[in-house]
Amino acid sequence: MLTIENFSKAYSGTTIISIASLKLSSGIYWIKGENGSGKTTFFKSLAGLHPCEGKIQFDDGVNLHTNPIPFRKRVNYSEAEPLYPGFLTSKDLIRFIGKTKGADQKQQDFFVEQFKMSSYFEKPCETYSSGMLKKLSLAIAFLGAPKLIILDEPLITLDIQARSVLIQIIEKYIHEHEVTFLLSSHQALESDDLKVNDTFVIEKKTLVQG
Amino acid sequence: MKIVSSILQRILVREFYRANAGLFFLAIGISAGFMRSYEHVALAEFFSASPVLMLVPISVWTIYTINVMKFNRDVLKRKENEFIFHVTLLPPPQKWAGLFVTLFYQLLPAILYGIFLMAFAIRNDFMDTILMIIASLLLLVIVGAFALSHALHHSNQEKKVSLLSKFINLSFTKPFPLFFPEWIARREPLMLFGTKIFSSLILLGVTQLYKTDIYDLRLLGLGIVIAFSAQVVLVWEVQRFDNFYFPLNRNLPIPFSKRLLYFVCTLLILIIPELGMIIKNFPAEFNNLNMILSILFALSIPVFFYGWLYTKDRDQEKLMPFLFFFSISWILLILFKIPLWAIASINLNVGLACLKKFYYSFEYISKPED
Repeated sequence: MLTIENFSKAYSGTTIISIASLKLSSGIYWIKGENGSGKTTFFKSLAGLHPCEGKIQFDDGVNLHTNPIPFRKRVNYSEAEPLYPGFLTSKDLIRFIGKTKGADQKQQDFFVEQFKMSSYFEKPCETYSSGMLKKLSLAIAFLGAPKLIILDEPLITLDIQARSVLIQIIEKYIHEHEVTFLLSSHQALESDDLKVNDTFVIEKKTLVQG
Repeated sequence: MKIVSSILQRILVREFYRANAGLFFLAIGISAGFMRSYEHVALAEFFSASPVLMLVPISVWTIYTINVMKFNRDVLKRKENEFIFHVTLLPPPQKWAGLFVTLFYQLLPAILYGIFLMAFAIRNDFMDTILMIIASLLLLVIVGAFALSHALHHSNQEKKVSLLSKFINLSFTKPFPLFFPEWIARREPLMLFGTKIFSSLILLGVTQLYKTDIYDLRLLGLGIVIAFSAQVVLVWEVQRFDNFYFPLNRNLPIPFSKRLLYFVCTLLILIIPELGMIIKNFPAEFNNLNMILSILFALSIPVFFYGWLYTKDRDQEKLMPFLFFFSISWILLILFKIPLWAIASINLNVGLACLKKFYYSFEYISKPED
């Protein structure tokens, strides 16, 4: 369970998003919102990429602000439009990030295989299509033993096969590892395949049940 | 038209001068520091005296133009600059005007020196030289503009990976401390090498002074301050890489001690030329402990800046007054005989404290995303 209390994120004194209280248990939470509503800012703040105010804490007391390293070990993030330094290969990135997240090589290779990345695993990112970059970003998001996985627009640029692999892995992580997923998507999430716990909409700079 | 010209200048011209600031700094340092005005005049008269001798500055301008063309190609490959390809949709007169103005500004140092040489050629009535200067500069601007136009019209070329890169990628996994050195060497090679040449020359010059007279260790300390303060542009780029170009880095559960270790490893790779210069030319009258202390002092300057840069997002322009202030402070401390180990200790502690305190609260001042 992740608890968010008195969360707020501001830029130059202007609040972008604030949340009084939110509790997220294992399962999928769909975050909706117009362009510019602050979804990505919210996600990046939770993932520790942007500083923010408020209490963001797991059940056992691991807190974003007071336990930044253990918190980051449990929270993984996949960007909507991932970009990596062009000269790095998937191998360089997955091995390095996997090591920091505590993923052994077996787990790293499992996701490489699942997302069918073997053919370009040792090629530099500058040669990738946006779909290939997306797969790399999604594979990175599952490394280690995360308790919260944030997927920003996970379905865009993915082919049908990769999409079904992603859905299977999400299901597996919810049932076997009790992971919480925060997803944003402008497309409808396949309701037959993915059972969404709750839907939230960002309105008037806060999260309301959708 | 004005907006097209303005965008091209911001993306290509301003960025070009910013990326090559180290090199221009070096050129200004050499021409203003090592040469007197009458030597410049003598050199200009020498070049302008014969068309054969004019081949020397023309060769330099050609190399400079090749660098400009490479820079433009690299900038256009960046994803954030894809919108510039819309320039190709403009009516040809507007497009070419924008491209020629861009190249004119990028080649301005060569054009200004050409005008300087022409003044001597006119005074001495060397018509061949005048025609050579005009023709060569005009040709370089035209070639540069055509190269830019070609890059704009052939944006979607397949990225080729060299055999060596393929071999390296297959055989090795790059360790994190190598990420930045390769990134900066690819992205801004002239800035990197300009900084290296500048700081190495400073250290070489300072260490050579010990051969002519008796000085204490403070002179080397002053040289280290200048040479390693110049590394701040690289440290600034390290921070940009870590937080902007590889932002996922901030999500990684890496303890501070390890982050600092990664930075020091990266730093050691970047300052190999300067370290080599200190070790190879270290004055014979000082013992090895002094050498270790000097190297520690040298390392402490970039470590200080690395931590201090996290206190607030500053662009390079805003950074310069602080760089000047810190450098002068170190110079004064050295002149007042504060030992190098004491200054190094302060630098390392302040750098570490800033990194720990501000790392997670640091943020680029930018627009919020979607």
